[in-house]
Amino acid sequence: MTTTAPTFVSSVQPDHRPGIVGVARSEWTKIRSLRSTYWTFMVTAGLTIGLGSLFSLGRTSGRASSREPLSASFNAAGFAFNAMFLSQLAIGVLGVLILTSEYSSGMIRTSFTAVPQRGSLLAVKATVFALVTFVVASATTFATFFASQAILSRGTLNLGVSITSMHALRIVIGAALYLTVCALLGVALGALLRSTAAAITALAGLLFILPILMNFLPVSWHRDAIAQWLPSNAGMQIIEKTTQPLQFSPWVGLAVFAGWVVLAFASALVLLRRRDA
Amino acid sequence: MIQTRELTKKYGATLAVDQLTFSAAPGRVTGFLGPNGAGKSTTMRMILGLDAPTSGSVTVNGTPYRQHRYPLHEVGALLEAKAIHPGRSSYNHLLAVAQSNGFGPRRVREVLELVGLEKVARKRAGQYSLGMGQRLGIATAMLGDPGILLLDEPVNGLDPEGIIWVRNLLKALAAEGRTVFVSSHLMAEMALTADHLVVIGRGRLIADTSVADFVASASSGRVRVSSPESQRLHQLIAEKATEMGPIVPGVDGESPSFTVSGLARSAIGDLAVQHGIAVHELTSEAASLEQAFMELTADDVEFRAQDPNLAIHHQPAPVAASKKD
Repeated sequence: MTTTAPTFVSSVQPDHRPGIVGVARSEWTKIRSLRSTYWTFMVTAGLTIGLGSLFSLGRTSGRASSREPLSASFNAAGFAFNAMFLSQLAIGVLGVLILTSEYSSGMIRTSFTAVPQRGSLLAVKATVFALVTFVVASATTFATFFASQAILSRGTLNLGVSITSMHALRIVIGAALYLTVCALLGVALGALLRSTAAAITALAGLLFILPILMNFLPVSWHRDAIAQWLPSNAGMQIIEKTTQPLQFSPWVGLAVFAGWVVLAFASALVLLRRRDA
Repeated sequence: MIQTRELTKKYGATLAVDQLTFSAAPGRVTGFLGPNGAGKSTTMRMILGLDAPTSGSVTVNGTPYRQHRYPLHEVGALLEAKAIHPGRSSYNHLLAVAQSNGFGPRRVREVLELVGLEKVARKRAGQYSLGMGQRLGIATAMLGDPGILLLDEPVNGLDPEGIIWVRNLLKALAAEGRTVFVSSHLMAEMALTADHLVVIGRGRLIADTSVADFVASASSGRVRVSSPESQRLHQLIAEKATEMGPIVPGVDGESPSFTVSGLARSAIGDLAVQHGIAVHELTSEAASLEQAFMELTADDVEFRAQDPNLAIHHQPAPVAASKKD
């Protein structure tokens, strides 16, 4: 058999030189070809804009203002972004699913046979997803800002501020960056844990439950000094107008949050190379 | 060319693949046979660099798989049917895989046509049958028009028409000079498709041989004799043969028959003529590939039915039978 068969020469040539750009194109195809991507982005945007507007509306009503008198310290530009306590989970879950859905379907093995450099694959996947998320998140935070200011400007209190006011632009862009880092945390947890349930639990635990638990620790345990390092506590400083004691300044806080995600990615990369797929 | 050397994989205390050395050469279909749980899929994952060997090595075109940068042009693989996100259409699935290695929509349309899925290419893969999933898996493997194809149980879940299609496709691909390495637990199917066999049981190499040699080596060497004077002939032969089967009465007016081991057909025929006995049948009982496989792997089956006679000596399964798990 061996001697009679011809030597195989493929007549099919690639359209592009294989490389990182091709891998990025492939990851973009994966992201845009799932309905769940669109749904989750819509939920994230809806929660941020909707809840942000609702919070702002609460601030304009008489009862709220009488209970908590207004001061010059009121963070008009960033107030609506407290709504991200919920939408961060939605975008984080999408990040988780980007990876765990490949594991649960078996697609990951096709991906790894197509691109055996697992580190590069994860890096490109995370980068493409982060870029898409940042675009969607920016549109969301700008919309949230303008909706919120329109609401706050109503009535006699007139709390609304302009986008050109102090800190406003930093807060709006920073909030979009915060959501992007949440999304990346999801990707890293997905790569680390591989199971959807485990990664979503870890995500909710880190972003949502840990800060609540912290409030129940004794103050003598340096609770507040420790709490400032928690991912969401540190990251959410980006929407603050003034820096409180025992809190990071806005950009340092966001950098601390990003540092956590870098740490998670580093561990994921080590495991990804070592583990059987 | 795929080459493994002393390839070994341990999962904890379980030895899944045990010092496996074999190669799959270009220009022929190499069947990778073994009972369920023999280590076929583990071996295939190690060939593709998905699982790391505990010891030993495996190369594809002389290089470990993970050192290939964009390998779809060299190796195409089908590991499991329907390893696709259920919400993604097969067109987008193929496009994503193609793009990662520099191929575009043109090639995606070509492979869709090759496997006959062009009409359902925009449907979500979650709605596909197992057979459609297999076709999509083969399309994925063919994206880079590779010189090496690795297919794990590709006929699993296909209808008879699909099985014939896969069989002809694999033969045609090998005839073009490609290396075709295809695993199966269906012996009868491999007898029709493969040129060469690598047989494993419990992770160990049992045979690495051509299909014809494999059957011959495990062949019983039994001869079936049928005669109206079978009683007398049986006695005459018994003096020379090593082993004799009991006389079985004939049905529908046929003469009674029995089996003989250790005596050639010619010797039996001559003996009958010398004693003036008429012989109605004198046939070699060639073992089917299935029987040969059963005999060789009888000690290496991991899961077995309670009555070993039922599991080992039953009739060969029809070609169209498919794995149910």
